[in-house]
Amino acid sequence: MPSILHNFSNTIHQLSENLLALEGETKQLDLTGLAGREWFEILQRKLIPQLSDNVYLVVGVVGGTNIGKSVIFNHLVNQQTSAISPLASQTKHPVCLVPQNFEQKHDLEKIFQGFKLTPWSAPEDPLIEDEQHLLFWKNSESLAPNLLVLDTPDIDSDAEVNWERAERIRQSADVLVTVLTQQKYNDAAVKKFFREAAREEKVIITIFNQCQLPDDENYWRLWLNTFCQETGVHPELVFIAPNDRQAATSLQLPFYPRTFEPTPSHSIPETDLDTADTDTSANLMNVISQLHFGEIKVQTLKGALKYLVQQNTGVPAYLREIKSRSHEFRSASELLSEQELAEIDNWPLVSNSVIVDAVRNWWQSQREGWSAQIHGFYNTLGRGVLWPVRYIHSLAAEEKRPPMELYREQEWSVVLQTVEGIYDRLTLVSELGNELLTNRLKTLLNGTSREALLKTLHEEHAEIDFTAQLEQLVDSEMTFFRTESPQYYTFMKQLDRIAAVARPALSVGLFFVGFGAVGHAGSQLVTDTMIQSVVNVAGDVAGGAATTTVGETAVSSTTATGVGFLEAKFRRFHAVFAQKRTEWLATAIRKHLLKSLPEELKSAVELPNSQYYQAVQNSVSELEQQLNELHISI
Amino acid sequence: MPTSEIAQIEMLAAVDRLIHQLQSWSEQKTDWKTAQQCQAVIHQLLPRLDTLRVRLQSPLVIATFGGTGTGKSSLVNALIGSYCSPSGRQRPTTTDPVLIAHPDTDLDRLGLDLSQFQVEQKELDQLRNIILIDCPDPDTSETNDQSSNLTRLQYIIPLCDILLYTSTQQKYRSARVAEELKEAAIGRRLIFVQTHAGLDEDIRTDWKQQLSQQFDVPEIYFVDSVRALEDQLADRPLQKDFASLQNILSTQLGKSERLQVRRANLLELIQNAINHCSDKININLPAIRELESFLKQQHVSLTRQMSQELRTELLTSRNLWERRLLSCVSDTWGLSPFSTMLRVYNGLGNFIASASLFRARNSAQVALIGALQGARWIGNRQKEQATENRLNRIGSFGLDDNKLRESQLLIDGYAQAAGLESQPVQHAGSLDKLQTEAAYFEEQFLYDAGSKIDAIIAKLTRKNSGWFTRAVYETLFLSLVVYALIRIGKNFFYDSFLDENNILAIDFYVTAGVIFLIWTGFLVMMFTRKLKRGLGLEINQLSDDLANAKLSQGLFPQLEQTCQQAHAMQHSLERMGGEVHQLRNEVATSNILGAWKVTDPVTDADSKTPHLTSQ
Repeated sequence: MPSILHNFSNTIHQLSENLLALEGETKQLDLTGLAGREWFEILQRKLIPQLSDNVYLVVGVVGGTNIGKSVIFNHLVNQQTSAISPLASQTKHPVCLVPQNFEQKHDLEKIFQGFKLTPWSAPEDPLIEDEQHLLFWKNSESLAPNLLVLDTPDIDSDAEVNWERAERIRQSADVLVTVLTQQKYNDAAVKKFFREAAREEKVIITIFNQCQLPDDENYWRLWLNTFCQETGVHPELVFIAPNDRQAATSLQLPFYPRTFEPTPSHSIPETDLDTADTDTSANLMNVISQLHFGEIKVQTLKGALKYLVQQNTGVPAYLREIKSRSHEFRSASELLSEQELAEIDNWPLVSNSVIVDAVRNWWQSQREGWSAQIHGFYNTLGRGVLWPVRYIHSLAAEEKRPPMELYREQEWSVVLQTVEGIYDRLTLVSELGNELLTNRLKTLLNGTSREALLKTLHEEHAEIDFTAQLEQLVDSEMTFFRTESPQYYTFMKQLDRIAAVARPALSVGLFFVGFGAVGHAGSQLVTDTMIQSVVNVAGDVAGGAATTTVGETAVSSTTATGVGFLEAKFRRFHAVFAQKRTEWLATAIRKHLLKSLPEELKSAVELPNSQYYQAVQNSVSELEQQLNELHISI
Repeated sequence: MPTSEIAQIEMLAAVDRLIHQLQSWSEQKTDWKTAQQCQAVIHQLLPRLDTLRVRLQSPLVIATFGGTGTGKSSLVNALIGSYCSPSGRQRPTTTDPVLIAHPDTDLDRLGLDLSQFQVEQKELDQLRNIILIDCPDPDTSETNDQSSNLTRLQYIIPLCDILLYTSTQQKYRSARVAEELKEAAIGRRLIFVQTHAGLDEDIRTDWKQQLSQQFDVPEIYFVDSVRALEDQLADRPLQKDFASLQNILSTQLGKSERLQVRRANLLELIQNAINHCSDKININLPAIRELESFLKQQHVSLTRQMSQELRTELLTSRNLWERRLLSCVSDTWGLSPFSTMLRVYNGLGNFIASASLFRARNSAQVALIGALQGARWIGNRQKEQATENRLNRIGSFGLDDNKLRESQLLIDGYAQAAGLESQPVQHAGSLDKLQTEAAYFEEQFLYDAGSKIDAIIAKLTRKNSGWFTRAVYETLFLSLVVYALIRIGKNFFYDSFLDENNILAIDFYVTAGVIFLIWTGFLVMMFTRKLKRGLGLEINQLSDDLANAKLSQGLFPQLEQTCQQAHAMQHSLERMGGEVHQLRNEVATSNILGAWKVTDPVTDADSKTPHLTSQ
């Protein structure tokens, strides 16, 4: 009895909830949603409503268009409930006959999810054209209790919405009354529909309609056998009906029961002589009412459960799909993070004199009392006296603009070069053929978004106060220096000499790391996890920086080597300033160009480790285990 | 020659011309990927058109088409009046197509691979004009593997001229068959037949309604093939619908109709391909337009920037203006005391300028020096110091590297989005190339500016140095000279001889010289000031003119060309579409055959894409 199946109900509910949560997470994977996947529809339409409910049997009459489904349905319920027409594809909505008081004990809305339930009023009801999925229902006194009988739309006409409705009925049905004809038993659409039904272990009752008796008596087994071989269907019962329109319209069509056992070969299955064919018509309603409801229910629910946990078609296939898609994302993001997105050989440097000025100013502000005044006086005097000299000097050097403006321009040029390089790199990556990246990058790479990016960058760049940044830098560096170093005063004294020191050549690399190969290797370099951009300032700065930290004592002994030390110190200003600037660039590019792409990729990659994924996986294995136990207990 | 024959020949020529145009269209070289794809489609089509043209005169190939069990083989048997193609009850019955032809028909000319068929030759009158093929069904196969019926069918269909589409009450709305028919019907005539008349009800009205959404449906025949065959074997009279179907196939599709059918098929194939390509191109054209409008915008902004720069330069280069104006005046005035004076001043100035010219700070000064002289100067400069100086010049003129780089970045994006092959714009050294382009762009601009400046100078000169001005200045200039001469003359001839006064001392001459210098300097200054009257206005006018002037090419001439070509290709495709549409209307076959419905994509596309906006 299905009571043993009640245990599954909890697991199924859990599974369903987790699946929906997982679906929310998978949006970024560009996967098709759950709706429309056969196993999910079965879960929703069959398992959830039927596992926890009392036993009732859903019987659907299904088949291709214009082969007499409605005729057979009418015969089955013994009344003209569904209108019949010589034209094809007329029944557009399912009709359901419901036993007395059934709707009080069960929730029809829940049983037929996704259909708008409408009380039946006339046989022409199912013919109306309506975008909604309607289901017309009607009470019937003659129906056995706990039996629902449905007429369905076709599965092969040019109105594809009909297929969908028929499929929904198939998913929740237990018994399918399969109508076949000699023209349609081998049609691709028909075979496809019933192949699914066979996989879901539905109970199949076949009615071979419109046979030309007695000629076709010799052929229908051949036809049906082909059908069974192609679809894997194993009909419980077989009836044949003659091609008799008169009888069909007046509810007089006879259904001759036949025995049939499919054979694997193409030969005609032998007629079982013991149970010779009779010409006595069977009453279809009686046949169905006498079915073992409980056993059938267990069979179909078990079939549905098996379908659900099956490796190739069920949830595991979905999980695999997520995993492989996530893997694709991994390779996509590796592709992105392996590429050093930008390489800048010659980061511009602020002119030495500017730094010297900044240090001087800082020095000035550090002094106190009379000393500051005196120095201030001499400084002003010096400035006045030296002005013509400086002016001439500046003319000769052709640096008529303020040096910071010059720097700004140079930096902008480098920014442009970098952006250009990044675009080239991204174009290359997008052409490498990873579809996921290609689609995402395409919009990033088009002209309008480039224009927008340049505009934002330009605006941000124009707003930056370089002088203030430099002052801040000098302040922090010098404060540190003063407390740490005995060379402090020497440095101050030699400032002017330092201004003439050659400026270092800086090269900078920018990575935008999601994770992956480079991400791990360079993880120490990640300055800020939010930014996740690695700035790597290299070149002869490195040497200089080393001198600053290591050579402290070595340098302090003699003044001669002190100059080298001071040079190194000075270079450090350049390097740190460049570092600050490249950090800005990296952040800006992250924010305005790549946006959330790295994060999206990352979370997509990590999806198979997410809580919902694991939960779904657990539910499935639990279900499998329960199914195995059930198998053993039976 | 009878007129009908001339009309025929005319039509043939028109079709040939059209195919020729298509061919040359598909052979154009273009960087636009969409166009390349379309060209590939046309390339695929052309050989098929050739085979169609070759067999224009041979019997029509008629094939059955319809779902399994709709009685295709039965119909074929009934049509030839004997059991020829096996019809049966196991589905699918026909897997190998059967080809039935008259023994006199030369099958080799059809270009069919006969090993694919079971060939039957029948000595029947109704087979003189046609070849019948009984095809497998399209609707039992679920996959497209090699041995499936669908694959076999898809091989045969392109070889047919007419499809005999059979269906039944059960099958006439089958989605699968309809889908296949949609593909198969293009380039073929259709005859619609409802079979199983003995068993089924007549659904032709509903079917016709369904079919009419996509096809022209002149008539649907409702036949009972089994009965028709029996009737023929027993020499009974045939049922009406079957008789007329047989009549059409055997008699009406004679030689005259043959050409019509084939030509209509040919045109339909062409039309279909052109429509396909047009759609594709129209979808992708907006991206090209975007690129174009961006190119234009770049062009405008560069020109504007340059003219702005030119204006400031011109307004500050006072000395050059004066020299040019003065030399112009002295040239027009010819030899006279004051103009000689001007020339001397100018010559002195030029002497200094010639030294400074080769250190000319910017291009605006070059433009000002004069178009001719400037061009010569540019030419020499180019030869001597190619890139470096040019870059400096560009830098001083607003077209600096950053600007160029920005342009390039954006253009790259637009070009990529438009689906242009990247090779013309991208990669190493492209900035150098761009700089060269920019230099040419600038030269063009300067040449333009130079000739305009010449005009301004001529105009200012004319305006400000009329005979009255000349008279005044000559008088003023001469008055001092004359006064000094009189004074000296009087002193020399009269005072020193008669009054016995002393001859004028050297002091006098020094003072006179100084006064002369001051006087002439004053006059020249006044004169140049007068000449320059309205100069500012003219310069503003000039820079506005230049900003709006259309230079023949921008910074990205290659891209501009590609865009233009894209438009040209679209236009010619549209034109061919229109032509083929017109031809198809002219060839319209008699009303016994159905066909794929003629759509009118050309006018449709016209209304949607106002391609004049780009100009």
